[in-house]
Amino acid sequence: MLKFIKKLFVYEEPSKTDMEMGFELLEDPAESSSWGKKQDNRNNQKKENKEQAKSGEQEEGDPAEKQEQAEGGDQTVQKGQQKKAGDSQTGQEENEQKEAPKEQEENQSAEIKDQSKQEEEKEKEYLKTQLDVQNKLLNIIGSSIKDNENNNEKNKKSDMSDKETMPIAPKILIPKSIDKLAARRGRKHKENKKAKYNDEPPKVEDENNKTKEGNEEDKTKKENDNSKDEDKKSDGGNGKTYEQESDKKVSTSLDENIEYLKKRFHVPKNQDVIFREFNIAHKIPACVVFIDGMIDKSIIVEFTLPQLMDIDPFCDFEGGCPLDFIEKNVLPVHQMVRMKNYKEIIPQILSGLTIILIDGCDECIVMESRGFETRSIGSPVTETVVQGSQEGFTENMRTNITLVRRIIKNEDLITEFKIISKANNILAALLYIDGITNPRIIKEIKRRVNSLDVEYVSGSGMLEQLIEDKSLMIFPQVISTERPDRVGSFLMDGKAVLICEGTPFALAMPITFFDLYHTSEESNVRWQYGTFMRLVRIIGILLAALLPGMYTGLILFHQEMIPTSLLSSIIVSRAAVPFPTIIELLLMEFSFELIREGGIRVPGVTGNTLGIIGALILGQAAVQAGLVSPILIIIVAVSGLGSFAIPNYSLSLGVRIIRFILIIFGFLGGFYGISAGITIMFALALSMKSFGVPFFTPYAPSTNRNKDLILRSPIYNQKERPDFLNTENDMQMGNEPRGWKTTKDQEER
Amino acid sequence: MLKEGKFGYKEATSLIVITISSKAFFTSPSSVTKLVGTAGWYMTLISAAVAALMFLFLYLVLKRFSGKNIMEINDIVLGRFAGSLLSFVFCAFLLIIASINMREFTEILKVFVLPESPPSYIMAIFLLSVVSLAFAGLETLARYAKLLIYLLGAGFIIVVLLSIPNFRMHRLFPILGRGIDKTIINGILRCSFYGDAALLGIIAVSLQGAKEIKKIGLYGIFISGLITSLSLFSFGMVFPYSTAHELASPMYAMAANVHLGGFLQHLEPIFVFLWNFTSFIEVAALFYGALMIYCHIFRITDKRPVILPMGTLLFCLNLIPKGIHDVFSGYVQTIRTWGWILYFLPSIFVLIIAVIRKKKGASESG
Repeated sequence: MLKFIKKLFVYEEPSKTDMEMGFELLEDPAESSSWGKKQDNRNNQKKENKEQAKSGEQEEGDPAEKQEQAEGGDQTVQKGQQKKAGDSQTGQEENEQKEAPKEQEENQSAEIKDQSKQEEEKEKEYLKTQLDVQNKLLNIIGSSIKDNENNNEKNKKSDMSDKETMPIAPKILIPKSIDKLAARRGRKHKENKKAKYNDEPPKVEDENNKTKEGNEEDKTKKENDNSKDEDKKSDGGNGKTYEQESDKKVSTSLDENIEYLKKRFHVPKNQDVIFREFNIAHKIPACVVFIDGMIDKSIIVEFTLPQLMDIDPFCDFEGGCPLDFIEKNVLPVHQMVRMKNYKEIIPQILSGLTIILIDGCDECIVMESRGFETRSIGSPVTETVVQGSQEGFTENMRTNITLVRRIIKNEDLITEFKIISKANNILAALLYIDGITNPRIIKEIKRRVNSLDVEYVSGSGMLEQLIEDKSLMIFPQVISTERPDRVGSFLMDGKAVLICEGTPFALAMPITFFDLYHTSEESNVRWQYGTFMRLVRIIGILLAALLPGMYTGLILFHQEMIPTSLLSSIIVSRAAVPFPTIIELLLMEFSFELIREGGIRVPGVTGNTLGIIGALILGQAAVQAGLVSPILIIIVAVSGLGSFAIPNYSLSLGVRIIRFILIIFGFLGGFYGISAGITIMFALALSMKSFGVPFFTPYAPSTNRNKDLILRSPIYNQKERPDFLNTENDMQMGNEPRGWKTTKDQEER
Repeated sequence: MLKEGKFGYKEATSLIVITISSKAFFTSPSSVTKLVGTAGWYMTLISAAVAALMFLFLYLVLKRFSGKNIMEINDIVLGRFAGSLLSFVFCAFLLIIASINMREFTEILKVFVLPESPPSYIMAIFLLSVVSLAFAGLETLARYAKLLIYLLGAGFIIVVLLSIPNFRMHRLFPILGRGIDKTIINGILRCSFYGDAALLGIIAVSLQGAKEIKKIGLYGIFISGLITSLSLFSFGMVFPYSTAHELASPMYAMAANVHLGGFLQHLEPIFVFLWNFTSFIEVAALFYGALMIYCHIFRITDKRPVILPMGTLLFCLNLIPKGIHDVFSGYVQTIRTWGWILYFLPSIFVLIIAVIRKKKGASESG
């Protein structure tokens, strides 16, 4: 019984494995607040863990030390034991307590606290009693422990001297990037503000410490209040408190924590943030906080609250801050981490994680509990293929990363996470393959993403615009795809990929023009078919961009260049048309764009029907009314079909814009004007770069090229990765990708 | 700030080839025919050989002062003032050549394609393209040349191949034209046709050393020589001597004469694009060369603010010739015949002075 009491209140430093577990969890997307510091943090934490583990081992293997520690005035231990001694519950009583209603338990715990306060004067007597009990327990433990105790006694003395003067504090793992982030937001991170376990004993300790703690807490509160006031003043009283209070840390007072969180979440005005208060093992006040609808309730109802409220799981608890014990022994949740800074904690709650606040602990447990509704995996809408994977990304980033990992089952596939917007806390994941992707590309992407200072990002579309090289360019500088297999291909080529919460698209970079007209289908069909499809697509792009402009130029300036028979049919068809060619063409092009836009916005099958029927009826009616010539309908329709053949939506939009520009140039100068327009377009496009890679690489500038650009060469000839990416590993195949072929030839010889 | 950047020999060779051979699409072939008769197709090869020889002097200068461009070398060898003066003369010369080429293109375009458009309107559109390319920078210009050279080459070969039915071998005779002596003398004098290779001296810093410059220059002159010779050879077989020297643009006329069946006729559209793109690149290269020299002389680090004023100057220079006759018979002929004096002689002069004054730059490694 006494052992139980002791375990319940004696706080022990976490072991090495705990600490490593905790850090690994911090590496998790949801918990990590910055990328790029992972290795450094890991190294630093390992060093700290080793030191802690050494001291932890010494403590665990040295009961005498604990005794001396208690004798030396570790009032935390003594008080906890006093409380438990005061309770002096028998096994029967414990069983009764289990069955008793929760309210009764809470009252009992409150009474215990009151009793402990009233019994201050009897502390010395209880102390003596506890020491006696501990001595008895130590005798029972056995001679082997005593031997270890004697052997290690000298080594422990230095540690003991420290522990006699202050309570043991856990090492709290804070990513280095917090300072960086705080500095970036114009705030100074208060490094000197250490955890209260370092400076102050827990609340359940004696009155003297309590008063000190109270004073320090008051000071902290005052500091916080002052800083808040200063921030409010600096913001002119408008108050962006989510930034201003980012340095606030979890207090040892549960009430204070709850009050703070309620204030931050605007409770009770905000009604979907749930604060569920309860007592851990009928004793320690605690509270779980989560957002209703964002979590899987079964995790809370079945695997969290029952375990925490029940006494049985805590029978081996030795005392002190129960976070370690809960983490290791009580909660059967697969992913949890401890945090102490609200700047980190609040985004986790907003992301659907649950936090557990415990009275007396200056950290909280952040527990994986996300369970909101998401769209299931479906076929890609904008990049359909006949042969190939039929899976597309969803709005859930986790699902998307899993889809990629299912394609690239490689331990070198690295996923780093970063919150990219300040107000809506959207998370982005950077994926690349270590050992293939050029580190300079990774560095550049991180530099750009880390430098973002925006309140709101809705998804990959906005992110793309924020990180692209030149915003005035018509062509995209980052490729957006909703196909996991395409992302896998990009990664294996040596590109980096950004996946953002909220949109079913991934962004691959750096890209060239040739990436924009490739599809994943070419790789899945034989090279002859792939080449044919690409040629059709190139012709489609040229028709979409040039045909209407060329028609304008031909009709307005170069009639003599038209073969006689064609010229006569054009003249006949245009005879009844009252408009000039340019008006006629712009009218039809605009109508076509209108039908297309309307077709997209009208939901479901109706949209497609509207597009087809609209084009047919409108076109025929326009011809019959004599408003446009039939040949113009053909021109517009063919150029429209050409733009449909462009696989990339952004490129398609770009080509549609270029079409209108070239129509204007064709109107101004015929073929000469179109040549000038093309030259200006190319001048812009050729000066464009995607993360340092010129847009028309490897043709202009010339680099060693993979044989998979305009034409699709056989798979086994694509031995090298794109040269312009400067990958760490240039070869993606061996010298003999088809080993069987070589063997067969040798055998035939 | 506009940076020249670095580019490879393929880009530079493409730029030089287009800059040189674009002249073959205008009045030069008819001028050559007038001078040497039916011997024009090999006379141009003599010109190319002479130009290659002259270019080697430029190479020697660049090799002597490795990592420097011709303007810096002029400064080192002749001193700041004299060097700048020589550079300025070359800058003015390039700008004048650019304006003459542009005017030649404008007149031809007006005759064949846009008869109702005023020359200034054609020039304005031309200038828009040139200025856009200049704003994009030398690196982009070289890339554009590299990207288009395949298409232009294909267009040129298509026109030549489709003209084969119109070829008459007897039109090449007499093979010696107006006499071997006239062919050789004109061949030597008209090495100015390939003088644009001297641009390599200006853009030397963007290239990978003197050896590569030599390679680019010689390859560029050789390929241009082949293209020009082929165009003279083919149009010499299509048109008899009596009419060939009267054509303002023999290649265009050749494309217009294509008549294969009822539909495959009038290939001018292909040729018009060929014409336009090569002319844009040619004038933009010369314009950018002049811009670089000007900015070097006056130590202007950012070229962008100078582009528009210099573009305006180019436009004004275009307006100086009174008419088409002045352009074809006067300016173009003079430049094609005597242009080598300013294209190649300054580098020979600088080399001699450098040897006499024992001026030498850092030697090239490797």
